[in-house]
Amino acid sequence: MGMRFKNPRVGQLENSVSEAICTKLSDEEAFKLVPFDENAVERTGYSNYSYWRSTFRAFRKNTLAMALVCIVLGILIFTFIQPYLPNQLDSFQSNIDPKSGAIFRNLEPGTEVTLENGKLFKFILGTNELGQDLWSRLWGATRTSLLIGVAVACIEAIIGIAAGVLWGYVRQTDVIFTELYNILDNVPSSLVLILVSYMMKPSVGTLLLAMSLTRWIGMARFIRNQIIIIRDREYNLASRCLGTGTLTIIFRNLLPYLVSVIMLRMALSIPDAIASEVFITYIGLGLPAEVPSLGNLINVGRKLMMSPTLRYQLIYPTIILSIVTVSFYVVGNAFSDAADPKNHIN
Amino acid sequence: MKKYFSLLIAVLMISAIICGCSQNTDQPSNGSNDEPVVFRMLYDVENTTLNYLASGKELEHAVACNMVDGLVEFDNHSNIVPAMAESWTTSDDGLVWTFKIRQGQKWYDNTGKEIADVTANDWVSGLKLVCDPKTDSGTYDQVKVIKGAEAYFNALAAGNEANFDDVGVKAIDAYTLEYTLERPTPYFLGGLAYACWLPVYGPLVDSLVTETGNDFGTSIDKIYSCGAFILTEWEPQVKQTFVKNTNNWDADRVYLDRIEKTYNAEAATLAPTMVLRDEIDFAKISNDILDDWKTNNINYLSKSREDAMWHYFYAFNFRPTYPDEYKPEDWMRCVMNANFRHAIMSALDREFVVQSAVDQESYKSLIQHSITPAGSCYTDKGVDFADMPAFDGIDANFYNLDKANEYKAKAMEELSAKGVTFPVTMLISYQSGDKNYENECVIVKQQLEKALGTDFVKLELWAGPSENFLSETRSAGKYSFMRVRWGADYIDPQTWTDPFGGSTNAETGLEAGNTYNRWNLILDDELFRNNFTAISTNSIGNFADEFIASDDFKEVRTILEEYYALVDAGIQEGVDLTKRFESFAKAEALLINNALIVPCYIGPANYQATKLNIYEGAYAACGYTKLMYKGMHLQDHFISMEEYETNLKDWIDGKY
Amino acid sequence: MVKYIGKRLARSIITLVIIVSIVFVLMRKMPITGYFPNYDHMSPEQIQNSLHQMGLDKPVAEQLFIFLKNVVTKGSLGISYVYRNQVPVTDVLAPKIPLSLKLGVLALLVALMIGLPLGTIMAQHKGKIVDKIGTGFIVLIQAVPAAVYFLFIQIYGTELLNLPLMFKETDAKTWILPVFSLALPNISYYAMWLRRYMVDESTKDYVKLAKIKGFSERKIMFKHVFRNAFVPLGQYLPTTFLNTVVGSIYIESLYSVPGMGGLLVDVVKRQDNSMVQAIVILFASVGIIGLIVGDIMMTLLDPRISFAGRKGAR
Repeated sequence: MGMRFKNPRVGQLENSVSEAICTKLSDEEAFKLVPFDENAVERTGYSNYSYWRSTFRAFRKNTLAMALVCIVLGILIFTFIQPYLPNQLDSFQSNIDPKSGAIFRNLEPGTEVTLENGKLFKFILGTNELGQDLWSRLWGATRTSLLIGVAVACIEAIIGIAAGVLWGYVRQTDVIFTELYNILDNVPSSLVLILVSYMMKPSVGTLLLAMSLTRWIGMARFIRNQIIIIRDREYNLASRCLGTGTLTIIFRNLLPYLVSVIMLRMALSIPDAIASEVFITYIGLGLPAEVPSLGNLINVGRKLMMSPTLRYQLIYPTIILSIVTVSFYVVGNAFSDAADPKNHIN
Repeated sequence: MKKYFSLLIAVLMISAIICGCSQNTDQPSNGSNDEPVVFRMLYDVENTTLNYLASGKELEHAVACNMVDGLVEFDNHSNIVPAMAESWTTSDDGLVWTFKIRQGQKWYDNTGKEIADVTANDWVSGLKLVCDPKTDSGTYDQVKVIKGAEAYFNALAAGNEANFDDVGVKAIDAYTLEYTLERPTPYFLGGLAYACWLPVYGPLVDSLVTETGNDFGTSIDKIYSCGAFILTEWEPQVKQTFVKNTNNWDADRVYLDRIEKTYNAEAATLAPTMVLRDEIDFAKISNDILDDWKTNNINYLSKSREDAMWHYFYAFNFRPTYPDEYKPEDWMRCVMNANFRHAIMSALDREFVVQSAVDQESYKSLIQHSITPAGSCYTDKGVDFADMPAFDGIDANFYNLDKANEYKAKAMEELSAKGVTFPVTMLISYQSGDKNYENECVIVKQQLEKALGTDFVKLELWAGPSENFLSETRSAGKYSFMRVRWGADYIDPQTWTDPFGGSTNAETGLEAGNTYNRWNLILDDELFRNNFTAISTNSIGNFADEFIASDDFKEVRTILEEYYALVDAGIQEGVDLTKRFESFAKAEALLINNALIVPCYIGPANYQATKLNIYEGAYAACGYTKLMYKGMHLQDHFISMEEYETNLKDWIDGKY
Repeated sequence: MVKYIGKRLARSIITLVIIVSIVFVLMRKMPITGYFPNYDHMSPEQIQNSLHQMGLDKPVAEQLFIFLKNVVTKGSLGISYVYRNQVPVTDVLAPKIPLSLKLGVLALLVALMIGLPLGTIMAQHKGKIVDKIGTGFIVLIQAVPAAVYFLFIQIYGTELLNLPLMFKETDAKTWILPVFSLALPNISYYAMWLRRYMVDESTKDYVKLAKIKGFSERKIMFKHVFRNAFVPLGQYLPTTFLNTVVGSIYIESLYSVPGMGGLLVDVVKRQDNSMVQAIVILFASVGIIGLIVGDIMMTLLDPRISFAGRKGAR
C-alpha cells in the first residue's frame, strides 16, 4: 500500500512553473501584428485559480484515494440501508432453532438453516454464542462507530480551529488558552474518558462528550503552533505592512496553508474516536449490550482469538475497523496533499 | 549512521542498567524429586480486605479458609469432622456446646515466624470482633444464635455500654471452649465451618483498634495464619502466595507446598492459553470459548462440582429508585399487582434461559421449584426439603404461555384503570464485565418481550458497574426485575430466608441484613413514607400515601406478614426437624405461589482445566468448604473429562 | 530566556493550583461512597462521624487549603479508604511509579530509536519499496485496534520467543514484549508524522536552493529538513511520554504489570475518591512540566519562534 505524494524534483517544478507562466506560442503567433482594442486596454490582471477547484482536481488524480473514498462512502451508505434490505435479521434478536428450541449458538459463517418462521436463511458471517446474526450486528456496529467517529471529528475540528486561530493569532488570548490547555490537556485524555464514562450512564452521548471534551484543545494547539510558525513569516509581515486586516490574513493567508494538516488530523480523528470507543468498552464502561458497536464486537471477539473455530467472530469486525481506519488515513493524506496550495502550481 | 549506532548502543546500555538493577534472582528449577509442589493460577478479582470476620464475600472467605482453621470442617463427603476442635460435647437441651481445642497449634505471621499458641481465647476474640458494630461484619447475622450476642451488638450500636461477658462464649481454660445458644439450633455444628466462627489472635486485634474500627486484616502484616497454609504474600492487584504450614494438625493431608496466585485483569482470556502452555495449573473455561475447547483441547477439559450452594433466582423490586425516565411509579403499581407478577412469572421460560445462557447440556437438572435448592437439606427422616407437601402443585406457577396471556389481559385491565400506561418499563440490571450475566439478561429480555409482547412490557438493560455492583444496583434499588443469587451459609432452610430477612431501622435508616426486594419497607407505613421522602431519587415519593392506601399494597403486605410469621415459627422450632422444615416450606411456597420470587437455577458444574482432583477436596453445599485446597493432589497433567468421570465414580463408591 | 522560563514556571504553579482545585471540587461532587469500603452497612450517624473524622464535612475551600498545606509541608496526597483501607496514597503509589517510569522511558527510547530513522528513511525514499513497507507497517498499527494486536503480540510473541506470558520485574526477558508493545503506537506515530513533515519541508525553497548549490541529498536531509521537521514533533515528546504511561492499561492488564495505568482504572472503578484525586493531580503536574519542557525544546529547535515577547511583533 503506497501513499501517493507529489514528486517535487526541482527541475520538474521549474518546468511546470514556466509552463504555467508562459503560454507556448509559435513565432508567427507571437510576433503577429495586433490592432488596437479598446477592451484590451481596460482588461486588468486576472487569474482563474480557484483553491477548491484545484484541490479537487489534484485529489481526483489520486486513484487509490478516490477508490478508498468510494469504499468509505459505500460502507457508510450500506450501514444505513442494510436494515431495509430484504432478508435481514435483527441485530439484537437471538435466533432459535425451531427443531430443538435452542438458540443457534456459534454457527460458522455461511451456515444455512431453517429459521423459526420456516424460511431458509444463510448466516453470512455466522452467529455468536447468543445466536445473534453477526452480519447485521457487524453493520449495526459499523454504523454506531462511524457515527461516533464522524461526530467527534467534526466537533473537534470546528471548536479546535476556532480556538486555535484565536489562540495563535491574537497574542492577548495566549495566556487564557495556555492555561486552558494546561488544564485540559494535562489531565490525560484517557483519564477524562474514563471519568466521564464512569460518572454518566453508558450511551453514545456520553462517549461523544467524553471524547470531545479534551480533543478540541489538541487541534487548537496544533493550529496555534503552526500559526506561530507561519505568522511571522515574511509574506504575512508584508501583508500586515500593507494594512491587511487580521481576519483576512487568517482566512486568506493562514488557514488555506493549514487545510492539509487539518484534514489529515480530522481524518485520523475518526479512527481514533472509534479506537477510543473500543478502549472504553475494554475497560467496561462502554455502550450497553443492546447497542452493537465495533468496541462491543471486538471486545467479545478478542477473547476468542486463541480459539481457532470461533476466531471468525473477531476477524470480521477487525477487518471492517481496519478498512475504515486505513481509508481515512489514506484519504486524509491524499486530501492534505491535494489541498496543499504548494502542490497546485502544476 | 555511526552516530545512530552509538545512540542505539547507549539506549541498550540504559535499558540494561534499568533492568539490570534487579537481575533475575530465581534459580532455575531442576526436576529432582524433592522439588516443592507448587500450584499456580491467575485471579482477576482482588480481595478488598483479609479481615475474614468482617467480610461476607466468598472471594475473601476463599483466602481465610486456607489460612485459618475453624473448630470443625467437612470432609470430601460432606461429613462433619473435627478440625481445631479435637472433640465436643453438647448438653441434653442442645443449648451448651463444649469444644476441646487441639494443643500445639500456632499462629504465624506472614514471614512464617511463630507468634503464639492457638487457644480457646482466640474464638472468644473472634466472636467479640464480629459482634462489634464497628467491625460492620457481613456475617454478623450468623452469630445471633449465640445467647446474648444480639443484645450486645444492639447495645453497642445504640452507643450504650455492654459487657461481652454476658455473651454465651467462654474459654473455660486454654483448650476448652464453651458456646451457649439462644435456642436449640439444629445446624449449629455444621454451621461452625463458616468465616464468622473462625478464631483470631486477640492481642493482634487489640493492638490494631482505631477510632472508626479495626485495622485487622487490612494488610499482610496485620493478620496471622494458623491453618493449612500460611499467607506469606498479599500484594493487592499483584499476587497472593500461600506456603504450607508444616506444623498444622492436618499437614499430612496438605499436598501442595505453595499456592501462587497472580493477579491478571485479563485472566479470563489468558488463563486458558497459559494452561495449554503449562504455565499455570488451573483455569476456568468460560461459556464463550467452551465450544472451541470441546473440539480442540478436550484432554484439558474437566468440570467442577455442581453447586447446590448457590441459587440464582429472579427478584421483583418493590421500591425502585431509578430515575423518572424509566417510570418507576408505573412499575410500583405493576409490581404490587398479583396478576402482573404472575404474568411475568408464567411468561419466563426458565429452561430456555438457562439452556441459552448458562448450561446448554444439563440445564434441566439445574432448574429449581423452591428457594432452598433440591437435595441440599434433608429432615432427620431423610425427606428432601424440596419435596415437602407445601410444594405440591407449585409447578403450575411456572412457564405457561396461555396462562401468562390470561394474566396479562387481567393485569392490563386492572392496571390501566389505575392509570398505568403500557408498555411498562422493566429495568433489568447486570454487572458490566460479567459476560454470562449480560447474556442471561439479554435472553430474558428477548424471551419475555416475545412471550408477553412489547405492548405489555419493555425490558431495559442496565449495565451496572463492575465494582460495587450490588450496592449500586440491588441494595440501592436500581432495578425492576433482577437475577440475584444467594449462597447457603449452613445446611438448613433457614439460611434461605436470609436474603429476604433484612430490616430497616426507622430512626437511623440503617439497613441490617439483606433486603433483596426491599419488602421491609412495605411492612411499615412510616418507614415506607420516610424512605420515599428522605432518600428518593425520583418522584415516587409524592405517591407514597396513595400506594399505602391501595388494595394491592395491602394484599402484598398481608402475604409478607404471613411469610415472616412462618419463618419465625421455623426458627423457633429447633427440635422437631420435620415441623421446622414444614414451616420454612410453607413460607417459601407462599412467596412462589404469589409470584413474589421466581426460583431459577443452581450453580452449574462449570468447565475448567485443572491439575487437581476435585473429588479429593472437602465439599459441602454451603460456606467456604469447597474453596479449601487441602486433601487434593497436584497431578502431573490436566484432568480429562474421562478421568473426571472416573474420579466421580470412585468418589461415589467411596474410594476416597 | 531564563527570565522567560522563570515566568513560565511561576505561571505553571498557578495552573497547577487551579487544576488541583477543579479536581478537588469535582471529587467532592462524587458520591461519598468513595470514602467507605462498607458504605451499605453504615447508619447516617456513623457516616457523619467518619466524614467528620476525615475532615470532609468542612467547607470545600477549607478542605482544599488543608490538602494543599499537607502536600507542601508533609508531601501527603491524602489517604486511600477504599482501594486500600487507611493506607496513605503515597505508600500505594511508591512502588508503582518507578516501575511505570522505567517502562515508559524504555518504551519512549525504543520508539524514538525506531520511529525517527524509519520516518527519515521513508521520507528519503518516498514512493520506493522501503517507503511502501514502512507505510504498510504504520497503516497496520493504526488500523488494527490496540486491544487486538497487543493481545496478539503477547500470545504469539511469547510463543515465538519462548517467553512466559506474565511480566516479572526481576526477569529482564519478560520486559521485552511489554516495552516493545508500549513503544509500537509511538513508533508509528513518530514515523508517520516525521515522514509527512519531512516531505512537506523538502518542497520548501531553501531546500531547492541547497540542492541547486550542490549540497548532498543526505546532508540536506539531516542538517536541514530533519531538524525543521522535528520541531513540531519534539514539543510533543513529554506529552507522548505521559500518555504512554497512562495509556499502558492494556499492557499492564495483559502482562500483570503492577504499574500506574492499571491503578487508574482500578481506583476509578472502585470510586476511591482520594486515590483518583491524587493520581489526576500527579499526572497533571507531570503534564505541566512536560508542556514547559516541550515549549523550551521548540524554541531551542526553531529560533524563528519567539515567546519572550519581542517588541514590535503583534
